[in-house]
Amino acid sequence: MELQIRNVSKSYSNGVQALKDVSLTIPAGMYGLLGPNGAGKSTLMRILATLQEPDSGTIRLGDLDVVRQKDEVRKTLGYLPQEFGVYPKASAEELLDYFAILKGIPEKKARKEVVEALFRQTNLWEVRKQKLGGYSGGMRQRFGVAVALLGSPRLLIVDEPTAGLDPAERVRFLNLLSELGENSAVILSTHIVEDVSELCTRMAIIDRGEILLEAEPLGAIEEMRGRIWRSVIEKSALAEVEREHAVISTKMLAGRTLVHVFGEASPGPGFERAEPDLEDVYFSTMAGHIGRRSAQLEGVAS
Amino acid sequence: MKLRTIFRFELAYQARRVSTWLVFAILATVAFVFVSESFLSDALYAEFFLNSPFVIASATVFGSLLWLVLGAATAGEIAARDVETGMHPLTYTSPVSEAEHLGGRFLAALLLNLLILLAIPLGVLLAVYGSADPELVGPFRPAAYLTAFGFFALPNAFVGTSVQFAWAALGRRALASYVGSVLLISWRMGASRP
Amino acid sequence: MYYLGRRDVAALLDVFGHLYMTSDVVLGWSPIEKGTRLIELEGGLLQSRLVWLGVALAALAFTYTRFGFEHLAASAWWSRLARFGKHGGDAHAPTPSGSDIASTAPISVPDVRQAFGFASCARQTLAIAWDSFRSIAKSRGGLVVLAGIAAIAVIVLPQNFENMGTPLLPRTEYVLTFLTASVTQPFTQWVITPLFIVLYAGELVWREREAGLGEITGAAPVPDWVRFLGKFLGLSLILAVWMALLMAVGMAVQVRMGYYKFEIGLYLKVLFGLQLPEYLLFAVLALVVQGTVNQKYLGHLLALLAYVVIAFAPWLGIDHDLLVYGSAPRWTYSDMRGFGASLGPWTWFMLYWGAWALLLAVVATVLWMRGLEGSPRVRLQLARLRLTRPTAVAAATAAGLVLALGGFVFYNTNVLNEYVTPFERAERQAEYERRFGRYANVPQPRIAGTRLHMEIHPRRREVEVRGSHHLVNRTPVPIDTIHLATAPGVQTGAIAFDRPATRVVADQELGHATYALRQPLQPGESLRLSFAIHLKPSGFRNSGVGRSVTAASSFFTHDFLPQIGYDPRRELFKPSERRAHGLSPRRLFPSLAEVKAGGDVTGEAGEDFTGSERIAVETVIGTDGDQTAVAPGLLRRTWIRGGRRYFHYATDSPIGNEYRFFSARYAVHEERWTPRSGSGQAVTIQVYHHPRHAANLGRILRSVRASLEHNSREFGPYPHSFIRLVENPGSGMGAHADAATVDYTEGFSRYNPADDPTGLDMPFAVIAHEMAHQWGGAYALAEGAPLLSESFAWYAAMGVVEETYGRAHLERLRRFFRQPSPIPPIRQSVPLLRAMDPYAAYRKGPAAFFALREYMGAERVNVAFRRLREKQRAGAQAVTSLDLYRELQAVTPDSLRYLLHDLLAANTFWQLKTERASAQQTAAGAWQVTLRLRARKVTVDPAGVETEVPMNEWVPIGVFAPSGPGREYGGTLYLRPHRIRTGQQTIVVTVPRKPADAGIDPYLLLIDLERFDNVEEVEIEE
Repeated sequence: MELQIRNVSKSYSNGVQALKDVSLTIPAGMYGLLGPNGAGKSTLMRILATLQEPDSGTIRLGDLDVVRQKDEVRKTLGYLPQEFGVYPKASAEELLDYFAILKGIPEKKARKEVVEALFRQTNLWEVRKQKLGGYSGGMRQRFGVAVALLGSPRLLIVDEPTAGLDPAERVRFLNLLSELGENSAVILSTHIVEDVSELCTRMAIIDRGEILLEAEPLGAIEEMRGRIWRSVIEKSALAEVEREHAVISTKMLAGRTLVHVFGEASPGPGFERAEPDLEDVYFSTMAGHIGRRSAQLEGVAS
Repeated sequence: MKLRTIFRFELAYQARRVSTWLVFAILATVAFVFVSESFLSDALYAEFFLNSPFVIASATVFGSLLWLVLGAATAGEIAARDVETGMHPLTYTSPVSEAEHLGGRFLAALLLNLLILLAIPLGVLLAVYGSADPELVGPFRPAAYLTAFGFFALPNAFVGTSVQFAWAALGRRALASYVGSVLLISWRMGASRP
Repeated sequence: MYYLGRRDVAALLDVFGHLYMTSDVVLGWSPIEKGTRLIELEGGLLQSRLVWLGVALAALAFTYTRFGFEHLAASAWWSRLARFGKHGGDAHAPTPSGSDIASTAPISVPDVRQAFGFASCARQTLAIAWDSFRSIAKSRGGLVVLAGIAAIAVIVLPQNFENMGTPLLPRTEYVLTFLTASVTQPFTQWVITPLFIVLYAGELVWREREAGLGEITGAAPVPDWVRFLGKFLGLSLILAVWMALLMAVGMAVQVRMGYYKFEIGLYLKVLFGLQLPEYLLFAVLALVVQGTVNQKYLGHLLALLAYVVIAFAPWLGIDHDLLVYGSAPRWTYSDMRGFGASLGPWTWFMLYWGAWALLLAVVATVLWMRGLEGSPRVRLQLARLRLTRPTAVAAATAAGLVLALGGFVFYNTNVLNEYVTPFERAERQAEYERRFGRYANVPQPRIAGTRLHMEIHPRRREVEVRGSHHLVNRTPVPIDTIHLATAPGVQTGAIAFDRPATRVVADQELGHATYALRQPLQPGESLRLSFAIHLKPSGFRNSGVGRSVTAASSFFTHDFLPQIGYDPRRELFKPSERRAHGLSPRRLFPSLAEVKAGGDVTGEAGEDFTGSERIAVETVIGTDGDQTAVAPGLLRRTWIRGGRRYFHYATDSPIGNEYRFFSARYAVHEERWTPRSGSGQAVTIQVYHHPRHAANLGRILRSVRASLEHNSREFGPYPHSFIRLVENPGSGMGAHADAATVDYTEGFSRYNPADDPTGLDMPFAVIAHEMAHQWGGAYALAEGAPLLSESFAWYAAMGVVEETYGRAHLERLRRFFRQPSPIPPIRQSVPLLRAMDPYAAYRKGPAAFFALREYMGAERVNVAFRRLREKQRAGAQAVTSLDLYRELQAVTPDSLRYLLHDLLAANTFWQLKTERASAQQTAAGAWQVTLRLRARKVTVDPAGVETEVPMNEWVPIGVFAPSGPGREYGGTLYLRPHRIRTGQQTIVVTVPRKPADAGIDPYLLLIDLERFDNVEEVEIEE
């Protein structure tokens, strides 16, 4: 099932334009939506999850119109919001069972199986009888994942899912997602580049409501080959380097500063060719060296 | 002084809420209707001036009963907003003593409620001088308004706000104040009926 | 009714001054005080203010000590209140060891097929309902509070089962009146139910969002209607549990009072069949309002506002139940009548509002806040999307039902019946006065006799009457025009005279008709007026259905018969109403001076002295075969025809033109009374009562016999050959006297006097009071009239009580009279001779007569009444309180004239106080008692101006031995009048034995509102 987003715009009453003419095509499999905080990721996710309305544009999930046929979409939807709470006085088992009913699993036996499987997968089986009020942040996040996975959704929307997870939990969760990605469309929004690079077959970079780049991660990295240069400099020299070169990222490295610079040719002595990764793609895109922003800049320049 | 800052902040914050003004408007309307319809006289043989101390006091008592229910959320919100909005880790760790924290908030709630209760004399005045037959209006006696406010509105506001504030602050839910109010009302209507 | 019988406690517990205003001021202040007097912070008001100030301060102190700046995990929200000493939030649960994280075991998401059919929706609905129920029930504002209130109700409610100091049987029908209240009645303790519904509805509406689950549940595949229905069912379940709790309260109250005849069926019918639906309708409204408003407190406030509007709609001038959500004509229930026909209209209105609720629910599901779009524009867009075909069909169905049911109700209330707003009704009264008031004093013939043939059809709730009045011209002038007052709401037809007459005016709406006689009716001549009346309900009114004729029992007065002349009772009397309808003020009652100029007269026992309204009534009355019908007069004959029973009644001596008709499945008790002296007329006593209401039969009969004995001896012979007591259906507890008939409302049979020797037999006294009205005669309906009727009746009843039960029992009755409840004292007033208020009529008047009796002997006072009665019977002029005063003056010795004047002709209050009582044993072994007294006497005018009257008069001084349990005083050691002057004085008396109490006027003969300071404990000095 393919999700097609066409020309979707959304602005808030306080004047912020959260989405500007966003168009994306999301096939089955893992799809990463990468962008800084406040880029409009959550807005897009909520619109896809039928909770917000675009001002304009269309979204289709297979044959379904996501904006108009919300009830139908919800039947195939799993959604893990960026922030959520729980009923503190309910036990995890009670609440997951409750959600299973809401997700359309009325039959008790089937529900029991599903609930058990999900608890085991999210590693909550041992603590399923505990009150949710006593859950730690990570446990609560995994519980949310279990809720989102109820009913084998064909469209799974997970908004910043790895935020509260410790590294081990994160790995486990991402594995789970990629399993699901085999026959569902999974949209993962994140500001962590690794989440996308490790899992997603396709991705988009979004900033200030605009899609700056839509690509396959591996292809995008390949395209960067030979255009990323690195240098380790003193912190005091950073200002000068930034003035003279297209610095896309800086990073502290043993007390000195590691600089990545975008350039078709070597920026000069002291720089060496870097093996590009998705982070370079991301920062190059954000800095306007590639992707839609670069096209815009060229347009302005000409 | 911190207490005064808290007090002023709460007052200003609540004054921006629609509900505060809505309660004020409802009370003024009710007092107006109460006096202009003068429903009490239905039970009585004779007439009295619309602005007699009796009518004003009756309107005040009735209005303050209504306020107790309608306005419960004000004190509750002030008492429990920190917890309800999740702000409490910030406020509780600030260098403000519990006395200042509670005192400033309680005083703000009390003053605000008294201001809201001023809607009652306002409604009475509107009814007396706005729409009534001048024949029914006796001479203006400030004492009638002052005694009604002082003997009924003021103590009622104090009792009501205290109970609402206590329930909400200890229950850490704004609407717990409402439960306190409802229990007081039921006490009035049930346990000690005339 | 006051807190556990203690009015002073009730005053202390008065939270908001509401009790003070509604009881002390509304009931206790005179109109003039209400116009001018300032509220003063004193007495009970001051005390209650202080008590609650203390409570408030305690609450604040408690808050301060309990409040802690501690981080709260998302824990139970009320637990703070309950948790003493146990600080700190819930500890986090240990995180399970994550040892197996690295194991990337094969993952399988079980592929369970989702189902979204009806069964799934039903399951979702139930899940949401159960979750909603549990969340409310388990919250600390939920079942715990409800159960607490129920427990308090069990403790507090029994105080209501008392009337006039006498315990009442907690029969289920009566208990239920304390457990139910329509949503539109805000002034009961059950106002909390709608208030809690608002709270619960808000909590349910905001449950997911407040927990932070709004987005997850919003995206879940749950249809909007399922969500609404689920929450509604959850709330309904809470309310059902609440009803069950109330039922338990009712039965617990009954058990506490030793009553075990639970009528579970009746409980279920009333609480679950009638009360619950009313609450459910309101619950829908509360859910709709708060589900639609996307701001919690605002939604809460608006839902409350909706409640205020519903509860106070009549004030806002909204009168028709079709316009006030959830309102319906109130159902009624009584043992004799059952629900009568009251359920029909109630049901139709409820169905109509049910349709509205459905429509509102559809609107709410469409507008329900789901997701994160709060702006009205987007929500309307969404609403359009959500308005799918099934939703539209549901809305259209609901709207259709609203129209159809509303139309049907409207057809009943406004087409089949006339709908008149209170203002229009008053306007009609005003119009009646404006148009026909000028005929108030035109000479008219009087009714001398009435013959009726009456067919009651209980099941059809119909009464057909054919009848005639025999009219006589008792005026000195010929009469050519006859004015008829026909009863409104009744079809009066076939009006005909036995001589040629033409109709000049026939105003159906105002109920007035005028006929011109071709030949005038000469003085002394008579005329027959015949008429036919049909009382037939068509459908129901906005006020429900009439209750006078129901399948099980019927009860109505003569008011539906056409009367002669203009009827001044229809006039508006409240000054404000008269002004609003453009009428000049009118005096409520004619002054004594006006009566002397000749006015209309009537009497409670219907015995009109002038003879002008003394009538003979003859009735043939038919009813269902299993019922007994009662009409005025003696039963001459009874027969059965066509399965119906017929009764022929005729009066044996003329009665006043005021009488009543009854029909029900009565049990009849009959016996004969003959005077103890042997001479005089025997009287047949009949009691018609509901078969299950026989508990007080013995007391009633004892009272009737004792009254006949005492009153015919003291005040003159009983004027009829029979006395009939009839129970009539209804919820009240009152009794009423007509000629030879006393009827009492069903509630009277609830009296359950304790049989211990210290108890007070109130039903006995009340019947004695009503019996005394048979000797009350007729009097001018003018100022001071209550002195002749009610005060006399209680005075006579006191004599009967004393004669039957002794002086101690009488003192208990008098003590009850002195209590400020149910009739509080009124200080600022006119003298008794002119007073009209209940305090004068029922309390001060009887006390004044009793004081006279104690001062100058029963013989003299009773002779005065006997003479007045003879004057009434012979009379040419209506008697007033002045005539009584004259008779009393005639029997009063000169030395006591001042007292007679003080008691009746002035509004006098004595202030007698024993400041100190001490005693010393004399050498001879006797005890010398020294009393320091203070005395004062004042008159109070209606404006409250006090005038001191010098005092120099005889007042009893009493010294008493130690009292036993349940007795006010022990043996009397000394009781003699002393000369008492104004001011402080000392009196020394010697008594043979050791005294315990001593004081002035120990039996409170004189009117003294400070009733607890007359007698003090004696201090023994060595």
